[in-house]
Amino acid sequence: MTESESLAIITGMINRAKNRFSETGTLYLLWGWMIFICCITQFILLSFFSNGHSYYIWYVTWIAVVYQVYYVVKKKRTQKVRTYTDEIVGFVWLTFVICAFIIVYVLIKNDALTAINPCVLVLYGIPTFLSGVILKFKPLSTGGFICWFLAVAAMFTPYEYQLLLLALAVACAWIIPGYLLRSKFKKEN
Amino acid sequence: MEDERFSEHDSLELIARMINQAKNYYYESGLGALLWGFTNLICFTLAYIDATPGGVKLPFNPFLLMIITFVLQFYYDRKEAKFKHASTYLDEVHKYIWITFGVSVFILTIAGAIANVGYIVLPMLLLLFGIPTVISGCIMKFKPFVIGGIICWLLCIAAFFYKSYETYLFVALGSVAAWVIPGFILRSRFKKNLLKQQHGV
Repeated sequence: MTESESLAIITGMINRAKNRFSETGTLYLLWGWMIFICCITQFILLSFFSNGHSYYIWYVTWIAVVYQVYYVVKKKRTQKVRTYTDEIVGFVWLTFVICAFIIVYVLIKNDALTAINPCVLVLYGIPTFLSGVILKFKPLSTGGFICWFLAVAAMFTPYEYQLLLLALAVACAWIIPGYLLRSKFKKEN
Repeated sequence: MEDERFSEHDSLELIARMINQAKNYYYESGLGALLWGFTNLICFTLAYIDATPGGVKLPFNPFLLMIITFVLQFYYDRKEAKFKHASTYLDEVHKYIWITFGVSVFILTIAGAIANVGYIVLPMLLLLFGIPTVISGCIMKFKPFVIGGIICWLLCIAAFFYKSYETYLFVALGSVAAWVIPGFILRSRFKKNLLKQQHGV
């Protein structure tokens, strides 16, 4: 490959990538609404019906997992350019998913239910804040800060009310930024 | 006119020169990894000795030693800022990854201690150690960091089921796997590259 060819490729890639804001907000909205509904439903089951199996509601999240796999595979097929930013954000969220699985698994096995939500909230803040600064999208980084603030509050809150804090966290960190991302994507594309 | 004389070869040379100038020696030479790796190794080993029943009781909190590392890091950051003419996108991403890590550790240790959930702090630290390490490894395409981060996560799972003062040693081991060993590998690779550049190979 000659120097002119390599420069042409660099220029072309930059031009193709810089005109497209690739974050549609779909996954933020999917997971935001899914967790929000699960939290509120579990809170109602616990508070008003004293249901001992209220945690079963979380099995619904498998629907979101299946949809996400379908969505990611479809996106990979149609996506022409995968930017460096896309790649970094991908690593950040992959790391988060692994850590969330580990922490929920070990805390359930240790019967430490009251510690799950504060720990999960600390973890929610990490990819949300990082995605915000990487994408230079302030609502996400603010959402990350709110998660950390609510993580501290959750440490001093009884389990059932922690669910409301979790719902508030996903609303601030994923649902609101998700809609804002969607409108930004529509405007720029 | 200037543009006409600036050939494609010159452009590529300029890009290469800019990349070299923007290199972050603190991360890329392994200095940061070694500094924090050894700090954690020493602090958590001392904490283990201090917590061992019938063992030596230290007259100070071993984690206060981290202040020295913070001062050293501040010194290196200042020194690097003096000769570095540009910063890369990666520098910025790295900076935020470590800020995020620092905030998470701070929240967990302070709030965890106040809320009396201290037993989860050490395993959670191992989980958090793994996050920036794996992300850095993936971004830098440097496998030892990725492996070190995964070892931290495995140690985290082990530490949750092995609730004892010995968990301090798990954290010390995690910092060796995540930072000390990768730090030495990064350093030797960095020195080799430096030699190659000096001899024009």
